[in-house]
Amino acid sequence: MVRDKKLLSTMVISMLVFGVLSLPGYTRSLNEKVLKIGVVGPESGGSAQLGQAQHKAVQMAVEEINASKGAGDWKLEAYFEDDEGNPTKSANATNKLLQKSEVNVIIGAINSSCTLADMVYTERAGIPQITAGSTGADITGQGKKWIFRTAVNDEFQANALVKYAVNVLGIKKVATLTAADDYGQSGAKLLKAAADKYGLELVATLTYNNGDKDFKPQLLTIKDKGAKGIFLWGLYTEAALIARQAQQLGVNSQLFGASGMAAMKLMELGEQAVEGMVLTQSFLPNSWDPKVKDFVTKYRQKYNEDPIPHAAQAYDTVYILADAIKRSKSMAPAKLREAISKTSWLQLVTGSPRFNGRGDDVGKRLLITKIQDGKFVFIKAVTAGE
Amino acid sequence: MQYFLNGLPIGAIYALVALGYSLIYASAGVLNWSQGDMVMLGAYIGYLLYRLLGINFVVSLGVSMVAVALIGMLVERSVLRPLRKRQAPAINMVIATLGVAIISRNIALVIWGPDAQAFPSPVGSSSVQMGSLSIIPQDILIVSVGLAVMLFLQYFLGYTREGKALRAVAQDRAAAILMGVDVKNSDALAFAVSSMMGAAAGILIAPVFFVTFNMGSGIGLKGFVAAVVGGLGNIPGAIAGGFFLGLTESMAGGKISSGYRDVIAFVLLILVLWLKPSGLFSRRIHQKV
Repeated sequence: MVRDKKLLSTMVISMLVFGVLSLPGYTRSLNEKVLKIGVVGPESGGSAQLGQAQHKAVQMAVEEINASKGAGDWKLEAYFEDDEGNPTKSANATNKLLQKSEVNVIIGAINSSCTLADMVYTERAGIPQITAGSTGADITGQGKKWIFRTAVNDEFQANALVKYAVNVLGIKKVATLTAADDYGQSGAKLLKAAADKYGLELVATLTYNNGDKDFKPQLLTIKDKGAKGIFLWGLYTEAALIARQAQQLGVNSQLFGASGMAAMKLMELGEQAVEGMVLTQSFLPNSWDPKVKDFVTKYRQKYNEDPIPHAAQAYDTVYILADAIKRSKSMAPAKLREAISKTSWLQLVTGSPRFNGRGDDVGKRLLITKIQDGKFVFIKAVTAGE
Repeated sequence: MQYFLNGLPIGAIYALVALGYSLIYASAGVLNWSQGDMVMLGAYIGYLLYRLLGINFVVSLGVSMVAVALIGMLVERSVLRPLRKRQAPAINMVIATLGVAIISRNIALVIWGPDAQAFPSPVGSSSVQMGSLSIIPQDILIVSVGLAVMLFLQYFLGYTREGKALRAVAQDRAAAILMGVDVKNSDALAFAVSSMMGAAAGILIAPVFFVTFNMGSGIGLKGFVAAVVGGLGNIPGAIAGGFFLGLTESMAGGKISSGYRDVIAFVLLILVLWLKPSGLFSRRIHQKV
């Protein structure tokens, strides 16, 4: 019995020792400087395509930067967490990254409601957070200190879409059909503000729940009210269903959408019903820009698929971080934040990032695109901050 | 009128699912929460055959219905029969079916991934305009195949030996045993037939709603509401309840607000449970003493 106890305690002690030795901090040589990046996004669930793209792009950028010593003496390390697009899970994931992985900066999340939930933790911890996928206006609208955004603020997108509808297409009567979550509701508000600003008549403001399958009642209301344009604000599965059902009901209004639904899956699910739809986004893979071409070639080589805008934005975000850590020469959160806010002169895939006082990237290119033959086709570019 | 036309196909789907609930409830005395996921499995098997392997739609429909019927029988044999043998309370069996639902949902997630899959309609997706009304071929297909399946069920229950046995068990399980009816067989049969109708609903709705791993939860719940509205265990009631719910949802969605459509369905459920728990379409049964 005594022997057993001894054996047991030896085992426990040796396990503890090995455990400590195998912790990352102890195996690494002390003079190597590492910037830990926590990445939160939906790698499963309804917006999985977006989260997976973010994961792949961050992975690729980190490998490139480490290989080319792009962050000076610093090595980048990425820690990924899946939030399934669920705010509670997202907040938990962020907390885990902050507490357990002790990351220096967070990239995330994609769904606006998740990003808002994550911000509670990054604000409390005083760690910079950059969202490369969330476009909700509230995110940078509440004067939080630690948040930055490399996605395009919905406010810029709503203005650009409404302006295009009235100035170029000459549409006067419009309706909004938006998701009943943070993202969709902020979009609805911004569209209304933009419609008022540019003098459009808003005849119906309707909503739907994520996961809804039948949009015919809403579409019939829109048809009755005679709207010539329908602005959608939500994700691709619902957008594809709406487009299909609009076509079946003979609703001939022009459809508009924001970057949240700009994914290949939209065309795959919507087929010919989404043809002609106008969307704003920050990136198109078939651009003439050499930076874009280079990124697309590398991404295709590595993952055998075309990158979506969320991938390009996440990729740029890692480059912004590499540049910031080179200038701040310290991963003290305050210094890192300061360096990110002073980002300038970088020429990246989605534009030349500059952050305004709220943390929005106002140097980003915003592209107005149209779906033609199952592809996004470029119409014109405007600067995000315009 | 357009709202009425839109309500019919969704009502047919609800009716098929409600029939599944009622049939199993009537004969085996269990609420089967995996009913909605049989819809999902039916849709995925149909997707596999029709979209990926390019097999004829009617054949895909048939094969998928048979395959899901087998899955239903498997569920009955592997999950419910052992519980019944141990004389587990009914609530345990209900929870076990909930477990089956969660397992099948996650299996689908692992196999087919989280994204929705498009299922092309066998009759095309362009609509026919009749005045101000648009009629969608897929909707006609849903209603007609749905009604055919229901007629088949009526025939099966009314005129075949197995169907009669099933009705006997539904009426009085103990008496049926005494009369020499094999209740185990009839339980398995109830699951098979219910699952089969779920699978039909799944394939029919797939071109309209896409195929997703969690499509069963919504349809399953609505089907349950329809079954309760029609009177749980009441076969014609389930059909009436399905169409009633589909039409109410469509009308209310259009006239009041589409955001409240689900609220309307579930308020209806509560009202029925409160005011007329035997269902809106129940016939009074005279208990003989």
